[in-house]
Amino acid sequence: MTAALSILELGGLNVLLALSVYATFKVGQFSLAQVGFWSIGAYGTGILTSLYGLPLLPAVLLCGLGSAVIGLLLGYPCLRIRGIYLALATVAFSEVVRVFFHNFKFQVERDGKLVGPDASLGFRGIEVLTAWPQILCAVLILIFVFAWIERSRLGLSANAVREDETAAACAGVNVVAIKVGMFAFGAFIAGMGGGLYSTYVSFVNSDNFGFHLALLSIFYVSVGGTERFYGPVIGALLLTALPELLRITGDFRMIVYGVIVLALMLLFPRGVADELRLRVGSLFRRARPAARSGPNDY
Amino acid sequence: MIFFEYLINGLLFGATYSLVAIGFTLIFGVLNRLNIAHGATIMVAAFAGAYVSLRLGGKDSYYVLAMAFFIAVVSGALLGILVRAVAFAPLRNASPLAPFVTSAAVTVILEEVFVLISRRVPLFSPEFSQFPSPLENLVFFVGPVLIRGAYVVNFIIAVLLMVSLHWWITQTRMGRAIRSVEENPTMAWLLGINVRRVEVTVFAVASAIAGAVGCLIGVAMGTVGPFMGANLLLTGFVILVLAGLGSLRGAMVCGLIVGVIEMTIVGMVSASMKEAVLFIILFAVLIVRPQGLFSDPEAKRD
Repeated sequence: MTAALSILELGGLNVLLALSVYATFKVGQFSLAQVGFWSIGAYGTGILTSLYGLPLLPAVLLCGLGSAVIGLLLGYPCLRIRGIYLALATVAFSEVVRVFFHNFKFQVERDGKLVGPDASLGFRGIEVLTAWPQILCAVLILIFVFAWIERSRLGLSANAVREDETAAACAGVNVVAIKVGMFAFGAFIAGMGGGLYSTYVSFVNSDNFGFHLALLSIFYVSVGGTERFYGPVIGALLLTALPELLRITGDFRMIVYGVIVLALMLLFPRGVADELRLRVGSLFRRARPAARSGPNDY
Repeated sequence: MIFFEYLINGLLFGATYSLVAIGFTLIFGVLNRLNIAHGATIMVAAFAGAYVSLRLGGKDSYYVLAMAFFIAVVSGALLGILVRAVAFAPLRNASPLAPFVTSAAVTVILEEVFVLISRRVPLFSPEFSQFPSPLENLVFFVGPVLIRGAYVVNFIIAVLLMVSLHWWITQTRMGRAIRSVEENPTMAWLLGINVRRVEVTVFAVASAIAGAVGCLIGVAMGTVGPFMGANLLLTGFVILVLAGLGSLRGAMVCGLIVGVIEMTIVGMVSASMKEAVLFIILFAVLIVRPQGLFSDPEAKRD
């Protein structure tokens, strides 16, 4: 029972990561920077709560806002580059953040022992403040926000920007504001999620926030589907539960995991949720809806 | 004087980085897709070479070393063809995200397989396995500058490979076909070029180069490990961006530059800072000159 609950909790945290990637995908940007924001949020919240005794909510919100500001600063110059170049630039950002925390030593004495990030040894002893209620709240609020965005003018403009920036600009959409705004929104979610993550697991290490996690965050979104907000949610839950269900396979667990991701991608190139939606939808409608693509210019 | 040593060793070792980026850029040029599994290919080939060397006692035989190199190249090529068949060929018409994910999944699979292999096979050791070679302790001095023999051999082999690759791309029929597919796949197909064959050839050659890289780096470091490919992949990214995607000549030059930068930083600051500096350079180049330092002005595809 507790095992199932902890899978759900981890799944919820991964949903946050996936949704932050999805926010950038929504405007056709392929960003691997979310891991960088995630680790900023994780370390920042850890420091604010464990070293300065801030309650969880303001700490998480502060870190989310901080990440969003950095996201603005990063997103603005990144408007010039797109597709594969954007992916590489954002990898660069994440790696620089990782190396920064790898060398970051900031310790304060509390209750007779040193706490705080200890460079390559990681950040031990973060107060555990997060459990399923906090994660559930965050996930539900975000799902609500994304569902609202999907139906609002903002969502329509974002879709227009993703499909064709020039056409969207011609139709009066403020492309710069939408792209930078969604980038910063993604950063906000990642910063917040990172904060919940570090106060949930109580130990973070910069080595866990490397290129590997960036790949996983892309897995969640692309296995789930990039067109509707429930795609990343399903993808993240599916790919969190899978390794746990695969525990019986022992040492082969991660291999089987990789094979399953590969197979899902080959079977559902657009993601499980979107492909199923289209297939189920086509049972009721005669004609298959026209194909739409995800972020497609890299 | 110490900087001179970094310069020489960096240039010598950087040639291997050039090879990493060339393999990468070849595949990108033809498919317009990043092959994330390139790093894993390097790693697998390095293990293949190390296996031969360990099995046949490569500590003091140049003959065994040559054989290890050959096996690494062949296994790299075979793996490349396999990666194309599994991760790229079925997704020809899917969104570009799909092959990114499948090749990343292949990377995860290969890394985990080799984590298991290095744990279970007694010949290898977990974390890092030996790659014995007669070049291991070969050093010589040019004046006061210390140069490692392995680096010199690496440099010579890398330059030979690059020269022959350049000849192949520019002078042969296949090379011309590859360049025309890079230019415009549909047009090349209409003109009767077998695009599928070009793709398979490019994957085989690029991955054979990756195999060579695996062996060269294994010999230079003396060790191989299941996660050695990930760092090389990121270094390959940096070189690719500096050079401009799809630029072979740029990849050659930028590999050397990156080699020198890396050696200097590792020597003067610390090993953990080298990635940060490289990525800050990458970021700056992307913002200031997104098309790269070496690409032609009009070479833009999307």
